[in-house]
Amino acid sequence: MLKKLFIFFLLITTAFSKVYWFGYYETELDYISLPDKQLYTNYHKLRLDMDVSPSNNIRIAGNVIYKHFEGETEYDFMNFLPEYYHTLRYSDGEPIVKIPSFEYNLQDTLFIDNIFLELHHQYFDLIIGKQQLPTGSGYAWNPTDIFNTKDIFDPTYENRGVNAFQLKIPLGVRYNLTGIIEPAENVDEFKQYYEIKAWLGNFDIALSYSRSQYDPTSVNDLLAQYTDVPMNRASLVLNPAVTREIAGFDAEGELLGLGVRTEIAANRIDFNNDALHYEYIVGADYTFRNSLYIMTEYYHNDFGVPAQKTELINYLNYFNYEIKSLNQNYILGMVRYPITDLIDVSLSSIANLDDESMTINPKIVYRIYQDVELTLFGNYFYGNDQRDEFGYQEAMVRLRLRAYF
Amino acid sequence: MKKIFIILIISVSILSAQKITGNQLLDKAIDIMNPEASRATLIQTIRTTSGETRTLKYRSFTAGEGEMTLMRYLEPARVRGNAMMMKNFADDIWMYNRRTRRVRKLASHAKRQNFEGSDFTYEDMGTGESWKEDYIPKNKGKSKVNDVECYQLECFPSENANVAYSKMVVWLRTSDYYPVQVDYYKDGELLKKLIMENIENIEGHPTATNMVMKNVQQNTRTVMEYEEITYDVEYDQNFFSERRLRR
Repeated sequence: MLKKLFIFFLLITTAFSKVYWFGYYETELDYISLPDKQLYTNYHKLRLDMDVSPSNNIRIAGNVIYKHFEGETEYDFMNFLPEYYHTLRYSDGEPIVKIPSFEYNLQDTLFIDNIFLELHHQYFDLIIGKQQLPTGSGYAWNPTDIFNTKDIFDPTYENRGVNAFQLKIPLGVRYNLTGIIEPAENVDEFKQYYEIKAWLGNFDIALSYSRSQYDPTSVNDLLAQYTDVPMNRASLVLNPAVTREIAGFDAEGELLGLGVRTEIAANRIDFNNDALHYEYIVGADYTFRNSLYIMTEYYHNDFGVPAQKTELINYLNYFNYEIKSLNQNYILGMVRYPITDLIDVSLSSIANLDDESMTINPKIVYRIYQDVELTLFGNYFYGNDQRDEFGYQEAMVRLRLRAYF
Repeated sequence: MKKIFIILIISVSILSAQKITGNQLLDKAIDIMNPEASRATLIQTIRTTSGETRTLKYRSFTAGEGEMTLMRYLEPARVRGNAMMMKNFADDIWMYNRRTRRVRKLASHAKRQNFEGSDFTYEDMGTGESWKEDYIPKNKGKSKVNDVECYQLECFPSENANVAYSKMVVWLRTSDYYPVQVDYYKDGELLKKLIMENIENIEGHPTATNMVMKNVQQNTRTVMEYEEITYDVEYDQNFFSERRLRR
């Protein structure tokens, strides 16, 4: 009913106001090199945005995305992992069963990415609908973010909209209160995020509290799909979803001429005797006089596993976005330089400090025309090809063309 | 002998007092360039290294004699809706990305980056207020630029200043101290030249409605012109805020 009312309101409003239409077309060719396989995928994406403001205090905006895939569209997740991880094991390493495959398909899709109504009042802003909800100050990792997932190889790429109610209350120019609720079927499952943000000195500082459900895939979840496995050690009692609370802190600003940022999340998972799990980033950046830009970010995640204890289940948790990293300690470094007014080159590296594997990621952005951008990304992987996170895959190359209109 | 010495000192003092100092010239230039508040629409036309022309259009709001600035891109489509806010004479910078709706606080070193591929850096587009701390200005006397009598001001970076240029030469009209040309040097070599054209009196304030920045090393050029500007504007005390940046 609410959805129909919303669409009705949207149609009425757009009929009487000037609507801005814009968006982009994007195509990307991906090449992935594995030890015994090479994969090619190509997609075409059309994003169409609309934005209408019937008055100074009301705005409706949204976008739809159509995505069409070509080339290799049927993937087996197991192709991306070394042989050791094809077997499901207990946390002590004892093998249980060999998993034949985990298949997933890239399917053509048409969906509403964002559609929201913004109401501005003297004392508050209310945003209702599917919307972008960025939180935290981290570049590649955001420990306090409960709404989005990031691709560490392309962390600035836009996220999917989140269906939520957001209330922002400005307190002067220096302080902002924010409350966000993402509804679910049961009230207990609602995601909630509350934040107070302040501009103090050279810093933006935020304190946050969030509450969400935590239900990572477990070994027992997988065993339930494979009924012919030995049952002597697994009870097959699945863990119920539990409440996850995060007390967050983030700061972003300038110290001694350097750009610095930190984001800390203290997680409480109630099945774990109230013990706190910490995730945090610390980062810095700097632009030299010749426009050379350098940046670094360190990430620690208590939810990751120590390198020598990594098992298939941990990979599944990571690829299902149930944890934000496979292992516990990572560092990212990046240098970027505009070699001409039209071309930026950058080189970044992400290192897994636990298993000592790493990636080297060159990137070239060429602004061919005013609204056309060509980006070439590369990812080269280094590490032990039997166990390490970045050791098995050999390379990935992406060529992306985007034309805005 | 004593009398002659006193007369000599007085004469030197009078002569010195007549010559305006570099610091005074810089103060006057910054004053005249930064009226209390403004609202403008600007168009930047960029001639790129490939020889083609690109256009950038944005809306600009300033207050507090340039202490606060908010800019919102109108064109091209690639950046439409993105915005930037600067406070404390660009010591505090926030960027807003419309697609991700993320507001990021940047450190002041970000001022050294080029403004969306143009020949202006964010620092070039600032008020010049930071020049007072970062550069030591020297009055090099009078000279003419396009038949206009000007003071020539040479600015060298002060000790420990972290700035983009190794030297700047600024020509200020003697009539009102309004700048007509700025030469930017990097590592001792001329890098860019800013020429202020079509200086009109708008609502009592001299305003260059055309500003041309030429990068003599890359052979690129950016023309910045006002599509409209008014100085008769007052802002709500909460205008320059994160809330406004997002709208």
